[in-house]
Amino acid sequence: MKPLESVVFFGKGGIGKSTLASNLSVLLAAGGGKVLHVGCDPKMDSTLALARGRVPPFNGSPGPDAGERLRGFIRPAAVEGVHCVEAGGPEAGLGCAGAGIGALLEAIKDSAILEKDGYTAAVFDVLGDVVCGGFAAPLRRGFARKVVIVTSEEPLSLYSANRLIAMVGNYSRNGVYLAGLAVNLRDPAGAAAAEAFAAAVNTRVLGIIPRDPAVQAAERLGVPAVLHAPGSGFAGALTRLAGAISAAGPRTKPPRPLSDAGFGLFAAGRAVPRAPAPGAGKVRAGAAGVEEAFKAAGLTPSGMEGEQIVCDWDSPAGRVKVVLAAAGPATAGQLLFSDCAACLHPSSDPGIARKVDIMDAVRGLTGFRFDQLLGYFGLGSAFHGAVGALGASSGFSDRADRAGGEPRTPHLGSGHWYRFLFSSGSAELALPPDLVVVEHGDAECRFCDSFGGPLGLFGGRPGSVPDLPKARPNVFSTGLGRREALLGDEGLVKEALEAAAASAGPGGLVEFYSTCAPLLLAGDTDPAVRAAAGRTGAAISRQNYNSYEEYSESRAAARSALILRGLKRGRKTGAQPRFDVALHGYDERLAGPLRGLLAKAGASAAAVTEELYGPLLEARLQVLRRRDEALCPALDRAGIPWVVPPAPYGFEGSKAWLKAILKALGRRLPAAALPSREQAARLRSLRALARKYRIGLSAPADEIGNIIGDRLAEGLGIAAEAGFGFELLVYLEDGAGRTAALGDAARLGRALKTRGLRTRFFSTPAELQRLLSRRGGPDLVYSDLRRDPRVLAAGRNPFSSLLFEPGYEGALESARRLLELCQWKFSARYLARPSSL
Amino acid sequence: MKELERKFPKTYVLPYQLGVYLAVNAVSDACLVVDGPNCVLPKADLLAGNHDLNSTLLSPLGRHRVVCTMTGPLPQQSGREKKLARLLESAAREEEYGVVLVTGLPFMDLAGADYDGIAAGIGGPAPVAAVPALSMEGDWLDGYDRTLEALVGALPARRPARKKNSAAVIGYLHDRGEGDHRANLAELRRLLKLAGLEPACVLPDGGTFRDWDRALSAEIVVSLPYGRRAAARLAARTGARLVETALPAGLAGTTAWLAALRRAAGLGAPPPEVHAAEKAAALALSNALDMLTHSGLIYAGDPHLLGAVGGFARELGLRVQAAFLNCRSRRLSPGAAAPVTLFSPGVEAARAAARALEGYDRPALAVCDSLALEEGFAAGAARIEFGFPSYTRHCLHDEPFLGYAGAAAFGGRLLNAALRHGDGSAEVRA
Repeated sequence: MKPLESVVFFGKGGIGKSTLASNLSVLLAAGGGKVLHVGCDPKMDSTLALARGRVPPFNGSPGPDAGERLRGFIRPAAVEGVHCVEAGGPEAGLGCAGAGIGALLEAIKDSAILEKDGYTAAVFDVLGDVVCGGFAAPLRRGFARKVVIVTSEEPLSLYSANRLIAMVGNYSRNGVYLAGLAVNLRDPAGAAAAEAFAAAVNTRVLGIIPRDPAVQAAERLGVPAVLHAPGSGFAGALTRLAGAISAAGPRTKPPRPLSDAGFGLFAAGRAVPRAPAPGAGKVRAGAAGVEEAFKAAGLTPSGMEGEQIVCDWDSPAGRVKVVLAAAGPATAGQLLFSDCAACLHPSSDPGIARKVDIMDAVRGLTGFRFDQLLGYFGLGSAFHGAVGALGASSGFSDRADRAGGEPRTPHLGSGHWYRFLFSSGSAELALPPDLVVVEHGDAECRFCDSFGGPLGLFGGRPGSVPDLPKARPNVFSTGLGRREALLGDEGLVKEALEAAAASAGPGGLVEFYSTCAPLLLAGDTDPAVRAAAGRTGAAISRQNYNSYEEYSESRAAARSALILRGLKRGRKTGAQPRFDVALHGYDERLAGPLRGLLAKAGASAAAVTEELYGPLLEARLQVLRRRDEALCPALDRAGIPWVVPPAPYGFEGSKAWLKAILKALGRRLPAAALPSREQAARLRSLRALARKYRIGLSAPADEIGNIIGDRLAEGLGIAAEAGFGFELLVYLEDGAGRTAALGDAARLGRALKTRGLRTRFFSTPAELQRLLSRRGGPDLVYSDLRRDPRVLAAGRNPFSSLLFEPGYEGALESARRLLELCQWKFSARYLARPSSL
Repeated sequence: MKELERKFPKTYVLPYQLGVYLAVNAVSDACLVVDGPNCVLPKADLLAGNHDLNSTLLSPLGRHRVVCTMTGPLPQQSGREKKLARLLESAAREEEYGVVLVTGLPFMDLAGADYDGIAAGIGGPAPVAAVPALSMEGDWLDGYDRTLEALVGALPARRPARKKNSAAVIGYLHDRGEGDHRANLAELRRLLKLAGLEPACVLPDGGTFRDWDRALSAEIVVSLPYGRRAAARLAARTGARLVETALPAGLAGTTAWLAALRRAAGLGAPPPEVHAAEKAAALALSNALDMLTHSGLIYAGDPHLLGAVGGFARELGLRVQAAFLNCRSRRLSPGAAAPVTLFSPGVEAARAAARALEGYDRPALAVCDSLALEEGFAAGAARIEFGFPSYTRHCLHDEPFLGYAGAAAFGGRLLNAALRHGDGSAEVRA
């Protein structure tokens, strides 16, 4: 069976692609073939002459099962053997036409209609300038094989052709090749220029099409010119072009587009320097290891900043930092080598920087590709190292990543091991009822946040289960779909904003988050925002991405103002404080015992509720678990007192919590609110048992300080009170920083009020494993990863802050749980492995 | 808020990529690279440790099987495809991966990312294949099927000799590595033998991608509803006979499944052993029937299990009063639809429909997934947590729900739930 002839036409807008493509379809069918002519231009003019009228666009009614629906959109042309289909597209300036082309081609592929319906040829006529990957969709696997670039001899047309050659080169992996140029001559004398260009880029001219009045006459009648004037010069030229296209095969040496500078020389009629042969820049095979090369160059990789490698360089003039990155377009001060770029780090001492030549630093690395250099951070695992470098793990990331790209240390992150301690989740306490959160995104965005899970990074508790996302009534997703992507999302945005603003009401606030797809579509949301805000009196704040958990300055200010308005409204209704305190940020598990504690101290507490304004107005003092950047300023401005007391864990912690609250209420701590004698006696009994056990904490050296004040330290006070010892296992890449780490460890010991804090250092995962599993090692190890296999493999039991309970009774229960875990041998007996790394 | 909820309801539907993750979870050495920012990763959390206690999608050692490229929409960087290709190449060289898949978020599809072409250009010890990025029109069932199809496409080109009467079952929804599926797989293999066929494989089964080679030697490809595309692609590639079936569930449903397989193999009517097995399972259920008959049932979950549960329910004398399906609208198997059938309903609409079943129509049982139960679709009926996701019911021991063995086990679950509920001891959260 003869293989399907599939040809795609590209070229500058208005150059005559549709004319050539539609006439080619006629010629291909004239030989007895069956041709599918595919219009890939939102203007939908490719099939006009073939079908003698408009073909309904496939993307006019997007929906599921595209492959099944496709057949209904394929129309027979007025020419025997030719069938037409048009992708269609949005109105100018709306939606994504490229995506529409992709959707049509996906349907063609999905339905296998070319094969099933016995087509012998497919001709794709693509919109003038290829502005995104969607327009290049016919070059994906399984579609066009041959590319014909239609051009004139004019410089702008040739410039466009030059860029298209580069695009075709990008898709050569799919078996696509440039058949050659079809030259639609504007000036009969211009053929030489087109031939010269073809030679310069190593391709051929398939045919020269002269200007012919027969073409305009045929277009006026709406018929293909080869049928209207079969004896014309155009028809003859096109027949020869069709033959040349049929005969064209891939060239041994692929076409090479000219650089912009090279094209400038060509256009000026000057000689173009020969481009380097492919492979000239190929890196050395079998070069020495990356680690050795770094060493030999005097470079010490100190971490990653984004996708860049940061190295310390002991230059002849002194120590400076050098940044290595994947080469993009060169910028001032950058040195390009292999596929990398290098420059001095902005933090480098300018005095030294002036005296050094960056080439000296990277000379030893010129044989390595950037991904090989990244492999250093993967310690032999190029993939995980590269993923780590991309920040792919930052969804489960550590505090340093969240802080905004602090250097990543080897062993921490993708490919090695995760931190044992993660910072707590959302800092947000307040979701006012007159706030409406609109996420403008697709179905995936709706599921972009969750909680719980083995990595336990979302504040989940064992036993808690995921729920359908966007759970609250005032948080919703627009559910952007293919239809809006293809035809424009303005209507959806308008409807969502109007509904949200109406719901928020006058004085209310709508936070409108654009996610990735809308950002790519770049629709204009201004009119919808203005209209909705004007109609309802609600304020609308726009944000990019769904960063609900991070307060930007503007977002915090807008919410704060909203809360303040809500409080003023509430006061006008005459609401008076009925309780001493309201608790915010404490879930029901914590709030129950804490209310009991407060009651002993004679303080009443409002019920914990998701409703915000009620508790704010019903209580004299607001007790916040942590500071909230929107709530606190609003409370200050409304003159409502608030306090962030210490964490209520352990006897001392609980006492301090109560004291801080009572002090804010202007009261003293009564004796009835202290631990009872019986409770004190139980603690003493536990202490006698606990003193022989030690709790392991593991952290990188630069994060020991962060443990103090974090929720981990909040609860560890219990363990210290109960007499457990501590062992701090500190990750240190090398000897440097040991003294500082010991200082931080001592501070941690003082914060925990324990003298039993031992500190040990490690620099590899294997060393850590040995420290955990050795005889006399820690009995328990703190980890925010649920059932952390590293701990289990060492035969130890992991625990996390979820174990800690507040208040005096909670402290005793927490200590009892810790003790039980120390004595529980399940891991040691069944899960320990001699070497797990 | 009411108007807001009406126009933009919280819908009961699961996204495309969750299905992709499920399929990757079901192949123990598969790695998925998602082209997009890190917001794609929490979906792995919906499986690992929550629905599937034994999932290896996420690794505390950082060797996750789902990773992302951190690519955002703006600006689209130059050389992005080359970077992705390099990343995939390095993944394909990782010893722990038997297959590498790549897909993207919808915006990358809009940007015209050519994952298929990139994947096809990569050579490495492990094959690399693209899963089309169809999140804007597909749901989790599409994602699962498309991923299985991509895996079939990544099988080696060689075609081993075909084994007579060997059958490969393709399109099993292996949503977790727990006892329910372990037992189902054993039952399916037992059923194949009962039908006189040689089990080549049931895929996916939680094993490695290298095990998928066994599918290439099958003479018959049995297409289960979760992997229609994958099964068709496999059969087209190997020339095996393709037989599309529903899930083998219930008594008559299982016998019909076996009969279809035997017809496809040209083996004639089922042997007496099949009828004996059917009868034995029926006898196991028979003494419980009077405690179940004439009851109504609410179902919430995927449409393929609806066909299975509905058919079995009718055998037990139950009637399915309402079905809430967590997917886009699609063709249901004959007889599967309930008097109230809603695809991807808004949760308020589903609750209202369930509450509206009053009087003799008031359902006694609710066979629902976790999400539906949490949202109150059970409307006070006895709750049987079933299907994906099941967050509050795990199977540490073997407990099938397919085949004859599954009929008895699932019938037992229905019975016990009804009895617990009847004496008021069941927790009714709805």
